Amino acid sequence: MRQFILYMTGIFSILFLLYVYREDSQQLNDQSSIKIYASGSFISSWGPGPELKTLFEKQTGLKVSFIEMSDPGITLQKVSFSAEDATGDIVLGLDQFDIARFTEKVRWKDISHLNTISQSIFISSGLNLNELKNSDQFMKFIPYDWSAISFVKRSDSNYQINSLPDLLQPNLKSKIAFEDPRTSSPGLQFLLWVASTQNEDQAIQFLKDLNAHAHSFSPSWSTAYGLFKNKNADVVLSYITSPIYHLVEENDSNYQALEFSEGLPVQVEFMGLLASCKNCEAAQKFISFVQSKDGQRIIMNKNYMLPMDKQITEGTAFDTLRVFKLLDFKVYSKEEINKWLRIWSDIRKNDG
Amino acid sequence: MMGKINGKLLTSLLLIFFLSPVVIILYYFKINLDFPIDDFILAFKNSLIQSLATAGICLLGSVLLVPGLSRVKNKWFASMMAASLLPSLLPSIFTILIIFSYFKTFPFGHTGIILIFTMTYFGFSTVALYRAYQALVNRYAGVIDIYNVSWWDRYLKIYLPLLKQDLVNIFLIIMLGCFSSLSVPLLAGGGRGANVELLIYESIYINGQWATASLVAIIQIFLMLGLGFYLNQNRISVSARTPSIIYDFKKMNFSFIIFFIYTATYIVGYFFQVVQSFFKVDLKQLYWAEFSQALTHSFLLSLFSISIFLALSTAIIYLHYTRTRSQFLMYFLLPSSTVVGFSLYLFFPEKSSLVRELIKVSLGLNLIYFLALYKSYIQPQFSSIQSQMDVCRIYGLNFSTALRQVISPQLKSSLVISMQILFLFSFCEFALIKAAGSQILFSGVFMERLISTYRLEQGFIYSFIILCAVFLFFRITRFFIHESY
Amino acid sequence: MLQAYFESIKYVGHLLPISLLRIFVGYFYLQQALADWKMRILSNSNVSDLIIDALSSDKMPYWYRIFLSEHVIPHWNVYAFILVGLQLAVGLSYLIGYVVRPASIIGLFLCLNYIAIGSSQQELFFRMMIACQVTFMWVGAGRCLGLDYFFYKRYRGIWW
Repeated sequence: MRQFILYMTGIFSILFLLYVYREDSQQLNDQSSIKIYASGSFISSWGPGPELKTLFEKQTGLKVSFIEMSDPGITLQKVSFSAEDATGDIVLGLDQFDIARFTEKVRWKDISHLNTISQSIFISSGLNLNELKNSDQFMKFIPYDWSAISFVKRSDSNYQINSLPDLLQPNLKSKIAFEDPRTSSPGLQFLLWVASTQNEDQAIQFLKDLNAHAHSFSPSWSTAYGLFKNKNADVVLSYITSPIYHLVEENDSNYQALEFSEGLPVQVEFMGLLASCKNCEAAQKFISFVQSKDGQRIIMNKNYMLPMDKQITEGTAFDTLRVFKLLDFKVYSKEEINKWLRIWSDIRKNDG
Repeated sequence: MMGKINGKLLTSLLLIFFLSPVVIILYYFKINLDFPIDDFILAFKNSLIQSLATAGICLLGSVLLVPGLSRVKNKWFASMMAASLLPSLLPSIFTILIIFSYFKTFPFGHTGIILIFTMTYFGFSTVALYRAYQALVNRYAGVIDIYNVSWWDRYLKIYLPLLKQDLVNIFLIIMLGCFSSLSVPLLAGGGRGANVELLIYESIYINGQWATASLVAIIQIFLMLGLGFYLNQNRISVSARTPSIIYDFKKMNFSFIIFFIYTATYIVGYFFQVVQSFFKVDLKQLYWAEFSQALTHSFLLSLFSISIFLALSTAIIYLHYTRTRSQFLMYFLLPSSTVVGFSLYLFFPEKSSLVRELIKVSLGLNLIYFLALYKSYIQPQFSSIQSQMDVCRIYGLNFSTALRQVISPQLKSSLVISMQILFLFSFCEFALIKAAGSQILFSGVFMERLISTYRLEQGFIYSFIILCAVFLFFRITRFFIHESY
Repeated sequence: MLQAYFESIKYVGHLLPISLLRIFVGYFYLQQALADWKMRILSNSNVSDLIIDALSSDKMPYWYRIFLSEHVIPHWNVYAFILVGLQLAVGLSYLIGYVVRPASIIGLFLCLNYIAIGSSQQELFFRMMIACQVTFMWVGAGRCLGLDYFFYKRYRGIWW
């Protein structure tokens, strides 16, 4: 009897697996839905993904499904292996460094004709994206949100930081939480910010001095921000929109992003359409939707990043954001990025 | 039918399984040996310093505390032992924040890393050694009492040599944990903190050299293998568990107080954060629907992981039964979640069903944790069971009958403890799941998503709820274990 | 086990004709299972329509009618899956001659169902099938040209 029960269990298990596999194949062969690679925070219930999906599906009748991207490098590596069999259509959430470092192995469709937000709108945001035109690599991507990197402190603290050298003030020793450029995008932004505002020798010396001066170099933004929120550090490298989050979600206006005389570096997030897309026309509609007023509003409110069109911020908490002096958006090559990362690694290794 | 399976074929299959992540990555990528050797030497030196110091301090502390702890019996004891495992099980960001909050000026560098690692692993090493020690005491105490051996002589000259295998296993597991950590050396290490895992990370994300990363991971394994082999040269068998002998227990002693202080340091810090979070967060901001979905998926993951764990355990027990040489398998501990996760990501299709994702992640969990759990809890039992298995085999008892009637009753509690730990990892793991590109939401990933988007307070609250659920599971399965911690 | 499979012809050869019939019926069940899998499960076609039509049949017992309308029709896809699974189990069991006696009980149950919901033209066929399966169960048809012989030699008992 026991053998019979085991036999029946085996049969039904195999059948169940076949049934599930069949669901798999159906989903994979489902040509009618657009598949979008995006980060976990984007597609979670508090991120912009679900609301974008709902509104887009309602407006167009086209289905959207998200594929969580743990890391752009890993995801694009897999896409490059899969070639024409790659699952996704659109990739969201690539910043300028991801594009420089990871996108060359993958083929992309030219979607420059879909870029609906004009240069004049960028300028009204204070954002100068002129350099994008000079880069063939970036022509295949469309920006959809941005923010500037700065330092955030509590308003009731009386640190005066107006420029990069001010970070080395004695009263700030072990007070600033940084992110490690090797493992964190804001950290990499900071590294290249230092590199672009000073000559190489000055920048290296500054980084060496900072190495000894900082509270810590966290592996990720979340750890650094956690240290700041926990009051282990008084200042943290973050985004200028971080205080807006606290204002809106926590009703706390005690956070302030700092202005720097050198100008703040900008991080822009891009989206691209894979050449191996299965549902290319529908995907292009989604790309246009993300750039629409509705799409930009959702991204701004949920992602806590600034929209490409400044008018979207009117009447919202983002409108209270002061106008910062920004550096022109710069396109870095992979070699330049890696060069500075190696300089940083050497500085860290030779520390002490 | 099991009796007819070739032991050697099974060993080969297991070897392929444990090395599969590396094989998959080498299949896709070309090896590039152009990585700076002096970087590797520095990274390995740092890893070695950090891990050896941590393992040494943890074991030394455990060795000193365990005899005292075994004489204590009070109503808080079991809970304290369970709570002391928390630092090694929760995400490292919690441990980092808790420890940082105790220091005005944190001692960055090797000191800081060793401090955080020690805080993380001390509980684990004490609990593991305590269990092994209890088994010995139960077996030998009566005999030793007759010879009127002093307490100190008893411990130093009789029990410690018998515990050597356990000490080696615990030492290796702590070393492995330290080797595979990225966040702690990076954050607390200062400039000198760079370790092998960071080198692997840099190979992947900065240089885009996956194959080099895999090669470094293999070198890491072989170096650990060599160390383990060297330390394992003089294996001494450890007795199986027997019923407790009644002792003159005390309610409290110095060892208990020290261990209580250690546990309380972490727990108080953790609960302080949790309570603070409860006050700061609006209950409407808790994403219950997503959280309950994540919990359900993690529960299913735990079932799958446990099934694979049992299958692998059965395979290794079979190898012991047939006396097939398989000891070398025990050293293929794969520490790097990134390498294992990415190999699974390459191997499995991207968009798939719940079942396939569960299989993928549970394979990953077993690739990383199976050998460590097996070596800690199951292997120590084998020395006494081996003779019984030999007798079964000689008398023509087939493997399934021997497994059911002879081996399982004796290994039951060890298996249950391993399953409980795997259950907990299923709820807390996120690095592996993210690297494996899983499309299913698990509770560890959910916590990590919260933490990475300003929502640290929600992360603490959910971690607390997860721990309550896991603790409830432990209590329910506790009746399988004959003696408490 | 393979040796026992062929050895059974020598020792239980009187069951050979029944075994051949068993294999044929097993093949029939497998074919049905595959057809139903493609039609009912993969293409997701609505089985409940068939059952609703069958509800009007006068052969159907009252309690069975209630069971179908209240439990089966709302969850028709689950029952369709179970039915295909049972057909597959019976078919495979007959084909390889493994656990034939318990499988024939399930086959009997399946045939009774088909009689209840099928048309009157099919009724004779399913009665014949019931007769075959009773025979398989009675004589232990899996013992000849089947894996049941291996287990019968070792364990004896009513199930082999």
